[in-house]
Amino acid sequence: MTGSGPRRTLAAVVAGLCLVAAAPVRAHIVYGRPTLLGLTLGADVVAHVRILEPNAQVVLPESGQRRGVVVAELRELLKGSLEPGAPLRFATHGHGVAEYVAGEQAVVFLAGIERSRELDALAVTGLRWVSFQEHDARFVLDSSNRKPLLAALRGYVSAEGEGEPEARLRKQRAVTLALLTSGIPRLAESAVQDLAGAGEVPLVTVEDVPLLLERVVDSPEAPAGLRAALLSELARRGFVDGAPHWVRLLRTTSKPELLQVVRAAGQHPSPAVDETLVAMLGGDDSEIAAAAALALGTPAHADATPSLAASLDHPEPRVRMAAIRALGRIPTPAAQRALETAAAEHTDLDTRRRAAAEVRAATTSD
Amino acid sequence: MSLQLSFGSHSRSVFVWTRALVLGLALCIPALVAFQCGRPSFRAAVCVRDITPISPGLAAAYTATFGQPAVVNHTDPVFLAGFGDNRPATGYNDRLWARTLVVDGLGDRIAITSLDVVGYLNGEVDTIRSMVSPDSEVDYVVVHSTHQHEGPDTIGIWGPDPLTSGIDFGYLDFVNASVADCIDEAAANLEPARVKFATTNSDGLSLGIDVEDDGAGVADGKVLVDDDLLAPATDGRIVDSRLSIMQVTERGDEKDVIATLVNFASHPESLGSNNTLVTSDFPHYARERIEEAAGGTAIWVSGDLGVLQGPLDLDVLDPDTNQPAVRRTFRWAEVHGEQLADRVLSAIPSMPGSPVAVIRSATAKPVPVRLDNPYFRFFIALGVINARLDLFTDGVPDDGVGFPFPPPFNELPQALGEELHTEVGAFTINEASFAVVPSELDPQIGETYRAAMTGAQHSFIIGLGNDEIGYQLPAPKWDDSCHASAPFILGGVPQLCPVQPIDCNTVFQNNVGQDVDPSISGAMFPVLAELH
Repeated sequence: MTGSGPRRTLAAVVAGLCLVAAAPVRAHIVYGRPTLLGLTLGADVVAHVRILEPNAQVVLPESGQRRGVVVAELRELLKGSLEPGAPLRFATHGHGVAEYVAGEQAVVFLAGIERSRELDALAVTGLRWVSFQEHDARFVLDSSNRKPLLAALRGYVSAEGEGEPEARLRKQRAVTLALLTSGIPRLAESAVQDLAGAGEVPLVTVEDVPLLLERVVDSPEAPAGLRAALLSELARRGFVDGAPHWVRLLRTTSKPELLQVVRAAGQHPSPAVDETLVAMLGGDDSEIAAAAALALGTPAHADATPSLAASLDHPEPRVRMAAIRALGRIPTPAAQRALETAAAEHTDLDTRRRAAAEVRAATTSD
Repeated sequence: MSLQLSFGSHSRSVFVWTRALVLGLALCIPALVAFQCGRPSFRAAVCVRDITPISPGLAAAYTATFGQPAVVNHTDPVFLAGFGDNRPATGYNDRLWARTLVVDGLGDRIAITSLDVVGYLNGEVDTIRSMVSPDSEVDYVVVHSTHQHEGPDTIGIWGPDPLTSGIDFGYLDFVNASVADCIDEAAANLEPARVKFATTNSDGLSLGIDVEDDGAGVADGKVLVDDDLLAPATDGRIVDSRLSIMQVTERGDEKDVIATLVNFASHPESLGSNNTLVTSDFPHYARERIEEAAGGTAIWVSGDLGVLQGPLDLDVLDPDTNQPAVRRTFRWAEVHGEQLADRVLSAIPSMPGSPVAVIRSATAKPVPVRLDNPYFRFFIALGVINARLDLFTDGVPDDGVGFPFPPPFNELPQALGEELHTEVGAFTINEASFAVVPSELDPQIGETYRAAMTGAQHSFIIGLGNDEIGYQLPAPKWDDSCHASAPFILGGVPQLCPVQPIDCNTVFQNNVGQDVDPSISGAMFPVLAELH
């Protein structure tokens, strides 16, 4: 599949497909945040702990070299097994790893130290565990997230140990729904990522839709990105008609989230969405207008070419440059003509140069 | 007229003197011709542009921090690149720069721009080139990224969430125009100059008390299979601690420095992932120190910093406290940067540089690299990675998107173009040789490039040069588990993948694939051979 056809198909899933970065080793360029489910599946030990010493050290007996480790008190073992009694000690490895403060409570996802080629030598000190959690996988507990987070982890571990597929799915669905409606963005986001990654697996069903629309998609209290992602996924599954919800989302979101929604909506073309984006292109806010121009810059929005061409005369350079960029992504003669005209005749030097570069790029790619 | 050639601090063997004689003769004749024609045989100029991202929400912070009026060039928020996503900037520590040195000698005119960004894709570089005035007569434009991890997202994968690009294309347009204007300005201001080189290293600048720190001033954060056989003394940790230096001074007064370019292979990421202040990291402090001591403009160029050279596991001695500086602090970055600067300054020879420079360049473009990485295909398909990136099939642009995975993964979109196009290049300035690579190059490979610079006394690797395609590691050390398991990881069920264990360390995840080294090295060696 190629061209604008797949773009439409893509549009149906774009905001809903996310990574579940469950791989045990993650490092400094990380594609998206790991989900709770992914972290749980990838860990040998999942534990609710209280941090005692965030910057303790272990010392290698022969070389005298050291390594920073975290010492924690076990509050609840959620997965795996640990020696009873002694404080839990673990090293961290990766780029931008999670860092802790003494006294705070957190959930840690640990792997055996032998799984780290770089740190396995620390085993001689008696250290058994390493955490690969990056800063975006740091789960510190507070009064708002403690109960739902721990409940979700207990649910995931319980589901993992369930031998019967239907029972496992039932438990995972319960956790998914609880997280999506938890009102805690980080937890809901984790669930929507798993939901989208699950393909057709019924982690939510059509009976759940009214609740999800009310509590998330149409809720102004929910983060716009989460609303957009869940809307995309529900539409992809055929549970809702996305267009009216996209329009509502566009009309009820304000900056700075609106910029994100505009970009996401551009991936979901429909007459109603296009009309809304074109109206934003002609609005007073140049930042929104520029975002709308970029959102319209796909072949699926070729009908917006006249509006984009008109934006080449916008008084704000940001909007002009965005319109140039958008027209360059619309492979039609009309879009090309608009760029050529700007390159030859525009009164602003930068606009002429940028349009000329876009024309050259288009010519080269021919 | 006297010709004075710098040969660095190497011992002057008969071989070297012979080469000097031959080189001197080679330079002498065209130099005489050039002088007789009234054209100086080496000219140089620098320019700088402030490319700090300034959003409406950060404008007041910019003015408060730097005492300068803020001109907005970025939307809110400014997502910081390099670690995880959703890291909006909250303020500034120091400014980000585009710093350009244009050198013009007997032969070619070359513009070297260093950007304080995480990476800059080849399409944007081509846009810059298209915007440079033909009157500037630049033969080879090199746009390098220092790969700092505390600046704006110029690639796309560090936005607010996994599916939203962090790129502000208006900002990229601003950078493109700024760099092009900067190059034009420098080319218009070329002045007679001298050039000299030096090579030293950062050995001993770190304390070696961490298990991953061998005291080299840079640490290896990822040990590949069989690296322990190559470097048994360090348990497989392999680093390139070389500091290569080019200094350009005014012709009339050689103490008047125009520019000092430093090439060092280490990720500028010492502040770590909790920092939300915009900064160019330790190169900022190194540049400040060099400029304060030597004058002129200091230009930082990151080298073969791949797999996985960086500062995160180092301890450095704070001279104010005589204790290790606290990691992940600006004080740590300051101490490290100043130590590197002092090492650079002490290595630069006091003798005047050469007033003559033979400059030659060679490039290969396009260099097709087969795109194996399903993660890249996923994010290109979604437009998260810079949507201006084109893929190609059989040399023809291919923007196709499809769903090639079998059920149940057939909902995962993939860009379908077979290959991406990048470029490699190289140039020589007298006795120094520069390889321009588009990747985060493993220093093991970097050494093979340096070995191919036959006769060069000072070798430079300009990493992330004219592109950023991710890591480049030796082909035999490739571990395919991360790519092979991609649908399972993307689909959230890595435990079902038949390939185990899965190593999704950044050097494999952020890697175009197994074809990178054969393609890049396959293009680079002929280019180097053309010059050596």
